[in-house]
Amino acid sequence: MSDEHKPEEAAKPEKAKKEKPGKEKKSGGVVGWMLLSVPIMVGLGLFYTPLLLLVALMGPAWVALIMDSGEERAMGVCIGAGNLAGAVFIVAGLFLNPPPLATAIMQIQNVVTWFYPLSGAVVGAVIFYLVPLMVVESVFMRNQAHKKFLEESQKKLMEEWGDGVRMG
Amino acid sequence: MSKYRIGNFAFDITQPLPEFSSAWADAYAVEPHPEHPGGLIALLQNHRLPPRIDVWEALEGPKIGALQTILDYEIVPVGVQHKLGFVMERPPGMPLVSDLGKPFNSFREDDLRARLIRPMLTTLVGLHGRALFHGGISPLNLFALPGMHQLMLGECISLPAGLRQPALFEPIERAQCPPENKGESTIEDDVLALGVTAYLMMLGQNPFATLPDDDLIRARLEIGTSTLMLNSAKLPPAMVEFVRGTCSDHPKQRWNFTEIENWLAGMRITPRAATQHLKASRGVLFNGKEYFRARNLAAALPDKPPEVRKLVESGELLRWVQRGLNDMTLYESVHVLMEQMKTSKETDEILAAHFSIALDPHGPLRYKSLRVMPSALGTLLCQAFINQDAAQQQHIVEVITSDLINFWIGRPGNGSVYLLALAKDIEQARGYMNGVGLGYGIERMLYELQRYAPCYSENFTRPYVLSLKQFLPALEELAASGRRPADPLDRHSAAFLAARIGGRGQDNLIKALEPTKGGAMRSIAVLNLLADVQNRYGPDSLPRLTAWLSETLRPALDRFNSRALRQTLQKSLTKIVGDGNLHALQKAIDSPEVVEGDLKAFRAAARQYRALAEQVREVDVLLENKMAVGVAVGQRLAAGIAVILGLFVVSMAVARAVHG
Repeated sequence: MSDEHKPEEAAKPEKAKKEKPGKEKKSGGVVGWMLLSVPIMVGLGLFYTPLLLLVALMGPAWVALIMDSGEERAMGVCIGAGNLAGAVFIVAGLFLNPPPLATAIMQIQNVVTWFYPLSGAVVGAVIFYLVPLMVVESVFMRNQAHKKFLEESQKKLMEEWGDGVRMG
Repeated sequence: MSKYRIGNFAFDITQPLPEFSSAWADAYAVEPHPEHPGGLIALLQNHRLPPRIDVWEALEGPKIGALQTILDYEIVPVGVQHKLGFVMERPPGMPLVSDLGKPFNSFREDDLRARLIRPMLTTLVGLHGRALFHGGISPLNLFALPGMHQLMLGECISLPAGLRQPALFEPIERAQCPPENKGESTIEDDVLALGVTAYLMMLGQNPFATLPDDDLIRARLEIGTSTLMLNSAKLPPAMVEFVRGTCSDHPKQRWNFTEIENWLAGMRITPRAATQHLKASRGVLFNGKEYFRARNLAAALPDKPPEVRKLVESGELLRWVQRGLNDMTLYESVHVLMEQMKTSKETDEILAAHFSIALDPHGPLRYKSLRVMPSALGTLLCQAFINQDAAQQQHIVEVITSDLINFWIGRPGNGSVYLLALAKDIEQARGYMNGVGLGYGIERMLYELQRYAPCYSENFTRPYVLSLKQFLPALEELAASGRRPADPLDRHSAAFLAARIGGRGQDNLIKALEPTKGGAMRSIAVLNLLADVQNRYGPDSLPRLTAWLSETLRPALDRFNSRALRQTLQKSLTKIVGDGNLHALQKAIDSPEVVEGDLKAFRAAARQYRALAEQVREVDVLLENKMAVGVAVGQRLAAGIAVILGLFVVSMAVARAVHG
């Protein structure tokens, strides 16, 4: 064997070393999820009716998130944040004294229950549409002012140095 | 105003002295001066031919014999034209002869020895001691009291040498030239003039008075000057000896000072072996006339140049020189010229001039209508410009650009130190001829060849500009007049300036006057030149010229890029114009620091402009895509606001639920 092949051999142990931490992380993640699943299961067991109600009242948020094809899903985030606020406003008290399933289903069927979650979703949608418009106008005006300043500076240079300054 | 001054001497132009005036100059009585009890006169020149200022400078010091002393000279602002004025000793009496065509008083040999030849010998010895010659000895220029007492030889400075000298008093070579074409003379020529003067004063009449100059010259060429003179009059034996000794046509056969001194002491001088110009055994036919002497044929050749070519190509000339003249030196010279002729393509006129020089090596240079001694070319150019004679100017240029002068100087016996220096000057002048811009051309050649020529610029018709000392005052006067041209320098004044300012460092300034240079650079070059002249020759203040130059410098101001700098300079120019200081103007407009600083600042500004243009382009892109840019940012902001508001409401709701 020639000396030229030695670097390849030397590279093998490094590759092995690099793979080891990944395997350890993966096994750690599984354990973490297993440990986390215990309180989740306990929570679902204790608060399944308010959680059911919350998931149901968050319906507009799920729709918005599904429909939002944007990279950052800003519309979903806006509507979801408003919808969550409205839904929590209805559901928050039920976590202290969870109702039976039938009561929860009755509340879902009650139109009044939907007022706050839907209003929150509308407010979120309004924020989503208004704020960008305001930002666009503000940036546009700022850029226009900057351009004017730059052009004024150029004009001053031409007044002082003549047309030749354009040619350099 | 009738009183004027030349140096420390005052004179009144209402007191003319017609007896000392001539067509060339007007004489006036100078106010009595304690140091000059004999009286003084002022001579105002009526011409603009170059004076012999170098001779005046060489004559400073003890008085030379009987020579009239010039005390001072100056430009006198009299009348419509300024004049060059000289103050000199007043002659004791009238000229010995006022008209050579009429009989005059004759003198005995003893009187001539004691009162003419003795004092003139002393004068010539004095002149020779300072390496000078007079060039104007004749009875017309000798002044004395009746009986030839207190003889005074008229000055030799105010006119070019030989200008007023009749042909009879000149050696045969110079006699063949028109007065202004004679050039530099020699002390041997003065000896000849003294011999002719003594001869005439002995006779009391001019035996050649009725003979036209051409006939007199022809007769002198034919039989020799002294022989002609002695054949025309009967003289005492001693005077015959003197005339034969001093009036020889060969300078080397003429008496020297020792021989004249010995003659004056009564000693007999051994006659030198006379070299006669050979007379051919048979004549050569040229232009319908038969010639027996080479010198006579040489004088006739340039009259018919095409015939010269025929004469040469037929071999007749060479045969005549060989068999008729039997002069083998001349034969060799003509033969060499004929060989050269076969290879060169020279014109008939140049060919005729070459053969004329070969046949009469010491005679004048004969080309077309020119008959000129090489040392007179500068003065002849002056005359040609004064007369505005374009044909004459062209002939001179053709002579200078050909090899005729070098050929003439190369003949045996012609290569004096002065002429070798002249050959060098002409070689240099030839270089100036090739230049096309201001400061070059035929005008530059004129001022280089004639160091004391006044400036012949049409701008200076009133002022007399003899040196750079008068140059700026003349320009100041022009600036103040209503006939101010667009440019301060024309071809003549630029050439005069270039020739007189001297120094290698000035060459670049002169070159900057070339027409290929931009207006701004030319204006600056003119300013630099004139500022240098003011620095060296004054005067200190030239407000009108400064104002004129500052106007011509407008294009130079425009070369500055900075408007603020231009405005500042314009303001400072107004102040400088008031002071009339060209150096300050030069410093303001052509300071390297200012020029460089402006250029650097301009480059920085150009860079800044480019950077701003780039930024404008970037902003334009943002403005054109305003929705794309703003919406993305706005949506992120909206999400942030919604999340914050939502969390706030959630926390409020939780708090309300917990606290009931």
